[in-house]
Amino acid sequence: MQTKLSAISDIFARLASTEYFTSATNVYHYTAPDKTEAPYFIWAEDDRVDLTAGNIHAEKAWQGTIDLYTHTEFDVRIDYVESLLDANFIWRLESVQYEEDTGLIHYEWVWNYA
Amino acid sequence: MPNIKIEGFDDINNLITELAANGEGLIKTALYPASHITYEEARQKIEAMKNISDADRNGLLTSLYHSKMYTENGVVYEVIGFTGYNERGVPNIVVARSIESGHSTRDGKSNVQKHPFMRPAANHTKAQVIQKMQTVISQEVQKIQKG
Repeated sequence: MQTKLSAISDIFARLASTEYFTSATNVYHYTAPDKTEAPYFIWAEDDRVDLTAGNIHAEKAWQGTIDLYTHTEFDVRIDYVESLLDANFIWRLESVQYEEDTGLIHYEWVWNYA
Repeated sequence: MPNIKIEGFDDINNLITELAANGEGLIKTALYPASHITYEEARQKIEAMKNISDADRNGLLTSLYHSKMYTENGVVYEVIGFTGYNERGVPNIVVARSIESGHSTRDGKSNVQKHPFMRPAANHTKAQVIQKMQTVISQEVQKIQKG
C-alpha cells in the first residue's frame, strides 16, 4: 500500500521531468544539499490538518510546502507547479521573496493533501 | 374564537437592533482573548526552537505582538507578528520569516531548511480560538439581554 507521503513524493517528482522543461529541475525533500544550483524545488510535510468527527480522525490530511528557488523572472515552473497543485491539492501561494544576497526569487506554496 | 398570544418579539427585536449597532465592537471584544491563544502557542514554539541563537530567540519573544484591530469589508482583522530589531541589529520579522520559510545561503549554493512555527501555531489553535470567540460572544449577548 502506498502511503500518502509517498504519493505526494511521486507527484512532486514529476517536477523533475524534462517533459515540461528544457532542462531537468532538481526536486528535494526537506532541504537541498550543498553546492545546489538554482533552479530547484524543495518540498516538505510539516503539519497535520485532519478532519475529526465522532472522536476519531475521520479524514487524515497532511499539510506542507513546496518552494521554488529560481534566478528566472516569470519562470514557467510557476505555472507548472500550480497546475500540478490544482490537480492534486488544496493550496495557496504563501509568499514570494526576493533574496537580495543571491538574486534568487523564492516562491513558497502551502498545500493540503487528504 | 381562539386567541393566541406570543410574547418576546420586542425583546428579540431589541436584541437584533443592539447587535446590528454594536456587532463590530462585540467581535473585537471576543477577538483579543481568542487570538491570544494563538499568540501564546507561537511563544511556546519560539521557546522550543532548536538551532537558534539567544539573540534571535529573545528578539522574537520580546517583539511578538498583537496588532491594532482593523475592519475591511465587514471582516475584523488582527495581526500577530513581529516588530523592531534584535540585539544583533537584525529585524525580528526577517528572522521570523527566514525560520518560517527557509532561505538560500549567502553564496546561493545551498539552502537553510525551513522550520514553520507561525502557521502550525494557527493550525493547532484554530478550534480553541473559535470556541473562545463563541463563549465570549455568548456572554456578551447575555449581558445585552439582561440590559
